[in-house]
Amino acid sequence: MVEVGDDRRVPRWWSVASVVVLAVTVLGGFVLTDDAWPFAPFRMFSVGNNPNGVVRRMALVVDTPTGPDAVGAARVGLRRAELEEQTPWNRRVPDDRLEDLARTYNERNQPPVRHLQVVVFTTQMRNGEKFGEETQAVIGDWADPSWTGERVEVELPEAPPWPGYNR
Amino acid sequence: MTAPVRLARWWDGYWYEAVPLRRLAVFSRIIHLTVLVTVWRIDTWVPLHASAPRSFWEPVWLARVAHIPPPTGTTMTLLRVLLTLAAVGAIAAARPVESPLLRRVARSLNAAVFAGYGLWLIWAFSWSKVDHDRLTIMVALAVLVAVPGVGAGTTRRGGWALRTVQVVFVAAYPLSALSKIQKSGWLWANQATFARAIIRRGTWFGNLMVHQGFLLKVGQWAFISLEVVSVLALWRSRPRVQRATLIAILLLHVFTWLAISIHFLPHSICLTAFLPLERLERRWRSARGDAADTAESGAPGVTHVA
Repeated sequence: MVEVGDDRRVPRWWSVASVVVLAVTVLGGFVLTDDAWPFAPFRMFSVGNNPNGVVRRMALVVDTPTGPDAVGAARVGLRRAELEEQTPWNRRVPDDRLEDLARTYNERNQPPVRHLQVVVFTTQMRNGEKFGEETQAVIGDWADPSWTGERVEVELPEAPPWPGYNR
Repeated sequence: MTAPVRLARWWDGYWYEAVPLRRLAVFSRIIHLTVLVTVWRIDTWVPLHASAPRSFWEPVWLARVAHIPPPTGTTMTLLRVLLTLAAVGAIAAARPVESPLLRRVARSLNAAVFAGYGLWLIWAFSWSKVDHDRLTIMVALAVLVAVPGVGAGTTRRGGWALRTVQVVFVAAYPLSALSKIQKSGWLWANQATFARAIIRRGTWFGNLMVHQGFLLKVGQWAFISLEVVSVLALWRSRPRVQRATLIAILLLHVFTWLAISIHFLPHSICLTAFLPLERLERRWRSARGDAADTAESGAPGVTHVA
């Protein structure tokens, strides 16, 4: 026990507990994954981007009375990073997952959507700077049976299940 | 004096520095106010999870161990209301009054906020994307359960609480640098990380910089260098170095907020654990015309960093 200036003593194990918290935090930084939250590694912005590579972002494109409209993942209750994390950019989105997205969209939004796509937007980089305009590629295409408009045939292998918190 | 005795004295001096309880009271109010701001203003995406596709629910380890199900509209609303009531109560209870009953009430309210905010974050992060700026505020909420920030005079318990927050706050930076080196190698700073972040979620300020590749690279070197040297913020015997490091850390957060609208507020607000917050309270009281008791602000052993 430590003698203190106020009327109560401070158990020494309190500082030991602080050191244990710090040690687990450091351990998390070295060997744990996001699964170990709150002791996950501090990996935000840790993955570098090739200065001459590309930058991708994902969005949903839904039909509206005035034409297709790109909307954020928030329209289905998700953050963009959550949609991107569980949706590989170079694989076809499975049909059951597309149905899930469309059903959730229709529960949350009016008017209901009859055609929904998952689209990857790509920006080229050159010498670490943005270069050229964004391009887009459809990796998932769902339509209600009543939909008579155009659809995209996605010729990519189907995305495997999400592998879990492995980083 | 033998080495073990010297070490024990240093240890106790480091972890149990006497601080005014008023400082802890203000810190408690700031942290609980931040909880309210995140729940109602910053984390507006969390309630959306109540209606997200269940196939995207990927519970983190804590949620699996505690068998926490995904949120529903009802449970999410209930949590938000209870968390708000508890946080408001915690702010009201953090007062410089010597009262065992008030201390018990404050401890209970702080415990409710700690548990509620923990659940809030589990429901936030169990969808495959974890934000790494919430550990420090969780630690702050935890130490405020042990030391509720009620009472007058000085306290070594409060000194322990603030020191714990300081250490975890600072540790985040070198550990972030470590993660960058682990994931992207020693030349992380030569890559286009900032440009990528700006393209994905840039602000007007960020978009001004997105065509300035050299400047962005310089910024990245400055960023990771600061993360490495941020441990200087714990150098108590060099207050100027400590102060300069804390200001640099603050500027780093201002820059990321301006460029990509990410402020890490629940983490960066914990920088206030370094500040003589009791002065703030004195100003509030004198602005209100109260006769503030300023006796303890000059208590021996109290380090004013800023």
